[in-house]
Amino acid sequence: MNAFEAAEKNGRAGDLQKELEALFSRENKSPNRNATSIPASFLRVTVVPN
Amino acid sequence: MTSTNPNKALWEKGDFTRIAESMRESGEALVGGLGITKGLRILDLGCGDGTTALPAARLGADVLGVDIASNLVEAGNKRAKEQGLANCKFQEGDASNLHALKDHSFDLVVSIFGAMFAPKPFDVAKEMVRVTRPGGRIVMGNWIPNDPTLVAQILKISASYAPPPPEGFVSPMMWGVESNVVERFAAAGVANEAISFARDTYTFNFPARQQSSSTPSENITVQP
Repeated sequence: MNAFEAAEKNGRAGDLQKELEALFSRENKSPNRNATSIPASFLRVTVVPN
Repeated sequence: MTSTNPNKALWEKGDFTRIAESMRESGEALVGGLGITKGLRILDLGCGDGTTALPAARLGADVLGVDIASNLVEAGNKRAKEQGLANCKFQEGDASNLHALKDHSFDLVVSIFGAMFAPKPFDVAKEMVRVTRPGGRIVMGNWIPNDPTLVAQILKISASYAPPPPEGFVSPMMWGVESNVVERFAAAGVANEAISFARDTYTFNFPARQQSSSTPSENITVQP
């Protein structure tokens, strides 16, 4: 069961939606108020097997 | 037909192509820095609908995309056909068991936020090494646990609403910890010196909204 399904089951889907909306707004770096541009860090791994 | 593989069922349940649309620019930029040349044999593991595979094929590589989800394989083949890329094929497969692929058959195995979501991480590392030719390369992009940026925060929020994972569950995010990566590839016979790390940034771009379209967070399918 994913988080949305679990939240719906517990009547908390709206809360989850709100939290995610707030996160997207906080992280949005787009200068265009109608667009969304959100950077996310990742670990880049390079392996050279023998 | 209902899938009996829970990981496959999970990925086929949502429509990841909606998120993938926001990843095209960063996908293309990342591929542009991989030194891809014409004829290079590339395997893209956990390829989705081709965010990495298609730009690699446009650079002239011979690309095979493998994904557990049949709907994403179908979407990838459709996109390749639409773009006239005969050198890019997609097929179903499990990153932890690539039995359909021969040993040492690829110059570059790439997996950007793909194989990290497969169960059995030690098997995943072993399979990636097995299908890479000696002297070839494996490049993974893995989200980082507890990072303050988007993806780790989505997972943190989601976890507070979801039931606890089953006992013995290994979080995909552990692929974002260097010591785990070293341990997994060491078990596949790779020396520490053959592994390098860099922190990088991927940007999700959602274009300006139409009145009737959904918000970015509504497009998120929260995976474990």
